[in-house]
Amino acid sequence: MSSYKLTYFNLRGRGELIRLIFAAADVAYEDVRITKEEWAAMKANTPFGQLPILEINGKTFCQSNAVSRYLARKFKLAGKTDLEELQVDMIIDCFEDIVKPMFFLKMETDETRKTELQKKFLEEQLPAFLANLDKILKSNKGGDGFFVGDALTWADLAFLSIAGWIKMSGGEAVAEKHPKLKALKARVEALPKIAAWIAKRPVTDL
Amino acid sequence: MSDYKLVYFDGQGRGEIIRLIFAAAEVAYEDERIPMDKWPQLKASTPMGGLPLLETQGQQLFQSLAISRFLARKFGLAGKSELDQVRVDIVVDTIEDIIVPIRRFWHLETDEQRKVALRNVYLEETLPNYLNNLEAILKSNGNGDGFFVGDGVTWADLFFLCLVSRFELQVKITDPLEKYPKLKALYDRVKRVTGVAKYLSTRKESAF
Repeated sequence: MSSYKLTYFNLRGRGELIRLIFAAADVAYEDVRITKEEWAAMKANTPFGQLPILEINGKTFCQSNAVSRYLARKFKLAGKTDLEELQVDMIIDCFEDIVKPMFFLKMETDETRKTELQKKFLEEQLPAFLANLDKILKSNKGGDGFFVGDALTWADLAFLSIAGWIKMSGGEAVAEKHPKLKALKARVEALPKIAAWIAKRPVTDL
Repeated sequence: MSDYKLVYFDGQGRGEIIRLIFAAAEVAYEDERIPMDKWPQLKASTPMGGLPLLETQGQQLFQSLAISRFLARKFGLAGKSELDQVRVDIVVDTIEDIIVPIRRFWHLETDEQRKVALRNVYLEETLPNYLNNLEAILKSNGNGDGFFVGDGVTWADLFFLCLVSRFELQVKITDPLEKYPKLKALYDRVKRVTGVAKYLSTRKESAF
């Protein structure tokens, strides 16, 4: 029996995918949430200077996607064949491609540039991304199931985080134009173990 | 007729990690390079409007890192245990974090002054922070005198070669690993891995 300890801020952010995987797999873990001040004090003593970190039987690992993939494979949430695992990875990487402009947008301090970047995001990048994602979903048996194969994978769970960030970046109206994606989000959130986690997790802005 | 066909532009960019994996594994593949003027017509026929693509088993696969992981696992270059595999993924993701900001001033920013300003921030703040982390990861494997993970080359080491190429071709730094002796030694070590050395000896120069 492995022991798992997640350390992250009291946010969903880059920690939430890991938490969702534990929830879907119904595996116990310690969900440690620290403040920015506690992090500032700890940071120099951690191996990689970044969060989230997952301790597995006392060994520390960072990088949320790497850790998520490891757990998903262990808990059979990563796809059933090597081609399915690749298809899941393809989707995860597509998500990262839309996170980058959202991140740059958030980091931009110059107001004029920010408005330009926001416009580009809402008028070009986000519509293109969602159209592609819709295509991927529909290519799996019409798009009324999950992203890959015939069962939940961590690609579906990652989608919940992405949907949240898109909303925070002002993209909800654009997202509304994709009913199959909207239905997938609702379907995943309604899964009993996921719904139970969403109901009991701390409510945070990010 | 090969089992694999890589389609990418005539440069390193996002295709090179896949070429390096085939090289290290000494597996043959078709290396199709699309000239820039042919790209607009081809784009609409690709699954996601981008390259690289890997054609294999009747499928068109996209996303360079997903493809790389799939091939690396097939060819024994992904780490020997599950924990080693996550360690490889950690290195790859850390290197990717170092590459992402480069695109901001290399591709996305058109204003010359802002380009220079972004590059300076990258060189003075972003890069040292990340290279410190990367060297710490290397040193956490034995004493950092081997490869990133385990006791053999993995695709994490190959992706490190791609990072150094980006420093040279895109960021235009002359001796990027100057302050990181262990990383510098790793760079030389990976270049000498048999299949990699063979490939590098015939690799043509490119703009990216």
